[in-house]
Amino acid sequence: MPSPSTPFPLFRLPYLALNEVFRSLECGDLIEMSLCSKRCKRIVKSTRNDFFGIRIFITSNYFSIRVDGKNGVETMWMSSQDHHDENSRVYMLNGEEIKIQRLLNIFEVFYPQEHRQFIITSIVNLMMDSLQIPMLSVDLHTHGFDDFLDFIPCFQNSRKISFIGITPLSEEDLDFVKNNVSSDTELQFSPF
Amino acid sequence: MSVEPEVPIVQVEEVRENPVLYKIISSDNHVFTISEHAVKLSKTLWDLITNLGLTAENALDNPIPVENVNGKNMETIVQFCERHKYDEEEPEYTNYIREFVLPEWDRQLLSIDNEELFQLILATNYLDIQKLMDYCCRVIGDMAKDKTPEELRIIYGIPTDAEDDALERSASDSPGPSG
Repeated sequence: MPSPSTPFPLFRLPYLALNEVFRSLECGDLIEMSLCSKRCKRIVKSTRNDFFGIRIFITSNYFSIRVDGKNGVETMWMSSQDHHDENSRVYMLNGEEIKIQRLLNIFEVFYPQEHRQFIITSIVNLMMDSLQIPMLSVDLHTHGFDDFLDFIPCFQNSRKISFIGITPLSEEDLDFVKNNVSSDTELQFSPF
Repeated sequence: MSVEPEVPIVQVEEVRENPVLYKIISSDNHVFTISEHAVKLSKTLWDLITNLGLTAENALDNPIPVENVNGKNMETIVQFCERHKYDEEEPEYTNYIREFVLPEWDRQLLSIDNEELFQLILATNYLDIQKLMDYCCRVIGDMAKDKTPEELRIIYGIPTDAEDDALERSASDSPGPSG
């Protein structure tokens, strides 16, 4: 590999070369790059990619957020209870520090439970904004997930939301959901 | 175009098999020979050869001066073009640069100092050699693998937002060419 002694002058590259470098980056690296500076984020946003969109899976005590592409899962971010310092990093998202541990394209997210909604929203917004991709689906496992309705506004632009649980949603809950998502969002209810 | 070489002509082993050869002179007066198949990988050089009307008969008597590329970069470029002159066309990828596997030979060739790599990209851009540009950009992109934003700032010399703002302010405050 080239010597790391001096920084590579990325922003002195001709435009086409700069664009090609960004196009060569893996999904996880593009997201990390978008966190370097506003200028980096602008370039990431303007970089053409072939990712399909975001899929979210959420239960009362776990979540995963993944970016799908034509090769399958491009990156996956998921909640984790166990924290190791190896390869860990701290992101500043919307003014809050979020501790992350990365293994290739898997990102484990450590967070206090009370910040869960904020963190999920921040990560999803970061991905959608940086990569300019849609939210394809949300799978919400409602069993034991008392405040799941609070999360609905975070997913208002998802193309599809599936509610998976033992008991069906009440009329009142269903009205709330319908009033807080886009009219284009497909809603599905499945027994657990 | 009868520039006398001040240094020995660089012979790349693989060019000997090809009967049609061209001579290129770098900005620091190094002279290189390159085969016709290889030189075609550079759109700029091939356009120049075509426009100058160089043929198999007169090519070696008419060296092509390339003012923007020094001998060190030209040597790498000639090696690369000779190596890849008979490559088949690449398969169609949706995102080619992210998906190809960089051959080990090329990775070794491009294992150079960051500043040298930067200069090589400028030369490649000028000579319009798409494949070498793809490979160089891939090597630069690979530097980002699994790095934190803080590490990326160091690897690529990325200014912080505050530094970018300061640069923008100083650029807008400085007087233009007319004073």
